[in-house]
Amino acid sequence: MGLSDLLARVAATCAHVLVVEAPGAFGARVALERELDRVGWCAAASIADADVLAVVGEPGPELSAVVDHAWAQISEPRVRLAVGAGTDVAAAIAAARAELAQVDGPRAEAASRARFTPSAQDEPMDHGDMDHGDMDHGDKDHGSMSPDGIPLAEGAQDRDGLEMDELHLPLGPVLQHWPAGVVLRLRLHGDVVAGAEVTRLDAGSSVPADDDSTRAARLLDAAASVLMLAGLLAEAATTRRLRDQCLDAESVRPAELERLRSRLRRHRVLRWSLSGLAVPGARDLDDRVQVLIDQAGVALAGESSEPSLLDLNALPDLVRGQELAAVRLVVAALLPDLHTSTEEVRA
Amino acid sequence: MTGSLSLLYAVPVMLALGAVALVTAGASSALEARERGRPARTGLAVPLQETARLLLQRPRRTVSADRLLWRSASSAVIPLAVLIVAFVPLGSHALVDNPVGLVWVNALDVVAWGVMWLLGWGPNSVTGLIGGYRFLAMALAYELPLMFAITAPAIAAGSLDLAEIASAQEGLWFAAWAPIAFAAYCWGVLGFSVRAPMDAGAGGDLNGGILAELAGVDRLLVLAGRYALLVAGSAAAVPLFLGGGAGPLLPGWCWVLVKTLLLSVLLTAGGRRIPTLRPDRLLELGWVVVLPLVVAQDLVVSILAIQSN
Repeated sequence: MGLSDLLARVAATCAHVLVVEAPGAFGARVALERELDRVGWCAAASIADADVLAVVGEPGPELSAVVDHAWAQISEPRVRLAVGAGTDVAAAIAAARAELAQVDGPRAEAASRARFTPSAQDEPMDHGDMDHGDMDHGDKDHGSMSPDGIPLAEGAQDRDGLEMDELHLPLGPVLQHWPAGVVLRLRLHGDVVAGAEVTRLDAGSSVPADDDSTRAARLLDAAASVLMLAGLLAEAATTRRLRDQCLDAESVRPAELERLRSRLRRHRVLRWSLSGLAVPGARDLDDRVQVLIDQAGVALAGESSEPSLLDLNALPDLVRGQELAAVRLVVAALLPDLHTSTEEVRA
Repeated sequence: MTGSLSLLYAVPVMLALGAVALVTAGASSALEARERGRPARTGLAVPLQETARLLLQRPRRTVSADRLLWRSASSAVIPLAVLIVAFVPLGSHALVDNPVGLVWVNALDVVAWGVMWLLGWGPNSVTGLIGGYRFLAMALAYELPLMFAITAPAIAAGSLDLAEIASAQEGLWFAAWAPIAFAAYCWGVLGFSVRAPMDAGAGGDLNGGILAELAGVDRLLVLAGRYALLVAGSAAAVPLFLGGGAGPLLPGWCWVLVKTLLLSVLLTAGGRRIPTLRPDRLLELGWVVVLPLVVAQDLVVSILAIQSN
């Protein structure tokens, strides 16, 4: 008993948190991320990696259904949190930590859950989580060819005219560096997108407009997301610190933004890695990161920077023919300017 | 040339492998803690905390997973590292002393292809599968340069025996007169241990790719195994490029340990500063730039070896 008690207390010092952001909860999400940094917890890479599910903001019914589905797949010991605009994040995290550290708390639940592999039939229709382990749940009418309720992959010609299995992968809404409440359903040949369909969960919910400092923070947050997805963690952490300063109404000196910009400009490998990825409104993705930091400076200076909105419905055309890595990078770079409208489109 | 060590020595060698892997992981976490604005020392304990966390976490299955292959792959990563380290001479002796030790090390790094691919294939998940694809694409890029890179010390020493290669470096390490081969070798080590910047197969943009569906002990075995593979690769670099156990004052085994630790930490810290290399770009770099350079390096080494004879 002594040993498992000790293990539980040590384990609770580095829990991994799966953050689900509802539309309009940007500020609360940033507050949560800062608290995670402060206590030494980190964001979970996937559902399998998570100990804590943190729902930020107020999810509508469709997003809630997806969140419940994700929760059903998280291994014990696990804790679920709801973080809103008025929540004391520090207290919420401390409480979650205390719960995780209890031997008889969340782990006792394991005995009551016989199995937690949800079968394909249990899924809500509008699930959009990335890794629940099933492939190709495209059409449900292939009864005989569906081991464990999952239809087999069907072949299709890829861009080189080769027959490839076609896989279906929904991106979002339980996904980091991704627009809140948006699901992009991809048809993949290998890791190349053959087609996509975009949906906005809980369409019709309204989101308040940003003031200048929030706008600047959002732009820097997008730049940090691109850097994280590209694997440059140190630079991403610096960018996030500048983002936090914007929200604290601390003055961010233009010189600091300029220093970040030139540091990224000097990074040859980063430029090699990001160049050649097309992004609307910039030469390429490398240029887009510079533009994001630029615009943050403009927003902080109080000069009204009219966001050049890109319709969400343009996404499917944008991502077709791209690789998955490029899709993630490009969407993260476009985050502050994605105009989320209500109707669905196909490409 | 020399006899193998008694099997009793397997215990301290495994402990040393574990310790070096823990320190390397701790150094990586310390760097990360500092970047995130916490004192670096808080990061040193993170690998132990993560171990406790994953030991308590319930392992996970997915629908229609290929459980046999998936579990075999996740349990195979650490043994792979152990089998490499067993052939590395610690001073004058290795756990297994073999006249073709170099070929053995090379053969095992190819087994890593199978293991990493099965990790992606096993869980029947799209993200895992794509992680596997990405790893194989990276492996195509690094493997040939890696094979030609380890040819250089073999040519220079005129032997495939790791102990003989180590003792042929009296005076000047092969890292000094075959630097391109050494760099290509280090690149390959980062590749088969799936560490930054060669970690696209386990990339954050893929929810962890080959790691995406792993939880609990399975995840622990793979995460620890990746560090162990990095350490094993560094340990093999010591007789190949870094003069083996040669060094002042300390006994040979001690120098092997110190050099292994330094190279592991340097590779981890250096890799963090480079963004994840994209597999599609890497193949071109590997075959058009690195491969000819390494072959040219082999040519130079061959000419020098013939002249000195």
